[in-house]
Amino acid sequence: MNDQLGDIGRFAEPSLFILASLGEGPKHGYAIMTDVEAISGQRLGPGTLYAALARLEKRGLIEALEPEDRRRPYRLTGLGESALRTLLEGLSSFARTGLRRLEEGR
Amino acid sequence: MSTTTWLLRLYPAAWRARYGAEFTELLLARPPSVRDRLDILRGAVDARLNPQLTEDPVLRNPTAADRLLALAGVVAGALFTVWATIIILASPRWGSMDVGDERLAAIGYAAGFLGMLLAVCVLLGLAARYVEELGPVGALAAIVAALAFFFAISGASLVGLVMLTGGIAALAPSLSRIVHPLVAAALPLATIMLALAMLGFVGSEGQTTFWLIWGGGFGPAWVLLGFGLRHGRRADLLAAGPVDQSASPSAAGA
Repeated sequence: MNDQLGDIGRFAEPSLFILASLGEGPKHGYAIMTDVEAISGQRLGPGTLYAALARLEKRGLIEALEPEDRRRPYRLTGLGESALRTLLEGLSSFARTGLRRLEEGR
Repeated sequence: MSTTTWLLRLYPAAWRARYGAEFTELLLARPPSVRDRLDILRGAVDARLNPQLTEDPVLRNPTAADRLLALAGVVAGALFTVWATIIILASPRWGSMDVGDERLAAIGYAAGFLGMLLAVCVLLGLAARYVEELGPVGALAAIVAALAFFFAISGASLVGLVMLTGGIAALAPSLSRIVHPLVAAALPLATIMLALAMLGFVGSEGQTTFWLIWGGGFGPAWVLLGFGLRHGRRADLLAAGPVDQSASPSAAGA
């Protein structure tokens, strides 16, 4: 995980999932939770979800919108969007390198 | 009180004010499993240890007196635990209250008396400093509990313990307006266990059980109380979550 989420510690992975989920548009907590489970196959606990949301919000990577009923949607900020792009490009490059080496090693 | 409300109360007030409503909504949409509850517990510990919110709606400005009161509670609790540990160690065998090492026992009692003196200061300090939060009943209960230590010091330990149990139990409900409800509950629970042990209802090892509870429950409960008092008075009450509104007008004006 690179500098964007480097200081988030054990919440770095859930944070990346949340950013990726918000990549397609604003979502509230429950929608993020179900979406993260769908895209990553990992169950996101409510405590972890909000611990990560609080960290992302504090770092200006996401922002809260006006609540709809009692549910509050979140969306990526400009900073969050560029951080997510950098993270995903880094992961993509890492995956390509790993796969290439695997092929070369055969 | 539902489990969800209880889980939510584990989070700091600032966190509940900001995320409480949507978090409750999430838990209503997906009722938490056992694993989720553990995750929420971890989240609450994290929110307390690593607060991410810079704006705390519960404004507290602890004065030097508040910090001293908190320190007295922590030291009193630590001394109680030291006292009980020494008494148990100074006994020649498990379950016996004979004193094997008199010098060690003397050190233990010195620590214990100092602890009781500090606990008296904390209780009287609570009654004086937090009279608006405690109300007349809570303040009176704190004074009764403080007097109980004098009875205990002067040798009337049974009378002292009955007064202490009654005083602390009566103090606990209003104490939860000052410190976390779990901290406010720990003290009466440990005190009631002490009383039961002293009257012979708990444990079969004579007074060793009493000292085990004194050192392992009563002492730590005072340490927790001390930690709970370190922030001083609340200038505002919780903005979200279940609160007792009765303390609101006076606390807001403080």
